[in-house]
Amino acid sequence: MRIIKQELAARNSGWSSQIARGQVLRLSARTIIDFVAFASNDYRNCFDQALTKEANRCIYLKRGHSMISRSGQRMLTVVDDGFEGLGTHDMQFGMCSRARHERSAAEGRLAEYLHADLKVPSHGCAENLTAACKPWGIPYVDIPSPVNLFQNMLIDQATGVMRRTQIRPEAPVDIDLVAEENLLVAFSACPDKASRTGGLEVRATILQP
Amino acid sequence: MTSFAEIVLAPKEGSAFEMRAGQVIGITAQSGVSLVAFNARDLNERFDQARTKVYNMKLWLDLGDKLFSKLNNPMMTVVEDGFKPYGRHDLQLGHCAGDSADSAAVLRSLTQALAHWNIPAHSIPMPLNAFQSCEIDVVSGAITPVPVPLSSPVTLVLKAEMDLVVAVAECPAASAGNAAPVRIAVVES
Repeated sequence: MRIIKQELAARNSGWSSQIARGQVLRLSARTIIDFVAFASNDYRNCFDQALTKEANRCIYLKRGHSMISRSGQRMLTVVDDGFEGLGTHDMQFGMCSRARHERSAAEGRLAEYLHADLKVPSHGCAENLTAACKPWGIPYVDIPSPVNLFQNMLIDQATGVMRRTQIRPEAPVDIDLVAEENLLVAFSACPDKASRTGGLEVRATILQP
Repeated sequence: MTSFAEIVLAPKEGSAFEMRAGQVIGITAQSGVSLVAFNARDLNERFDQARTKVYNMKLWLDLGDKLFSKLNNPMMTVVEDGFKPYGRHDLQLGHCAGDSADSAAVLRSLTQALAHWNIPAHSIPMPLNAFQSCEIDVVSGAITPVPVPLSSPVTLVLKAEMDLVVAVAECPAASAGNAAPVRIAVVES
């Protein structure tokens, strides 16, 4: 496949790009990525966690699954997943944010992030994605809850209680998604307060088959 | 408590109304009910499935759990749940918990009900699907809607934590058929 674009998003920053139907987005990382997509011809038609879970009959995003838009169309399909067998990609959570971390701190719940460094980050995925989507005129309230790539959760079967885990790839792995439509794609390289690293950079490559 | 509003919903019918902080809503039903909420003072602040689950750190709602907005503020609290012996209200799927025959009709009903507040369809968040249960295998991730045939209506009571615009719609497929109409009562607590 021919490389159309390759960029590195620094730790705790956002990234966005248009991608054409048929092109492949390769995200390479060993950190959580909050990933969203919008139809290029109508940004109101954005990725939807609920309809994606409905279509795939699965609460995780796996190889062969498609990300579904608010109007029920396939947006991207996972064609390769380097995290397979190591962990699952989350579709329960939203985006971390300054507001979220402050509420956690005020309620004494920062330890849920499993990290020794409990300082509240100045910003998180909500701010990163807001900045990444700003050039396209999309405000925070219209950015959907993402698929949280590499965010492995431990869920109790009986109670439904969720806990973060520190399961991440040891070295960067690729997840490849083929665009089913012309899309705006955007992500945040999460500050990942649960991991031992506290978040890392993400490499984004757009490939033409 | 003084009831000042009672609404009865026919199948797939929707309704929207305002609630003040501190008031409670009782939803009595034998079928599914999709519920969404907006901050009455800022209609861009909407109910959010994901933020609700993160705040409660749980896939579903228990007594005392809160419904949260995308702006990380509490919107409602579960104060009574007559459905608990039968199932768990869905926070995973779209309107009517994935029943495609009903979801489009119910989204239309919610949109019509919210037109008074100029809230368009694309601004209506994915709902709390009350009285609609799903089986989830947390290892494989498989999720399957499981209709819960209720022999009589049960009641879910939610307390408003802020001034709200609330919209509800009835989901027929979640019932065993011949379900009683959905009754909505908003009362002072």
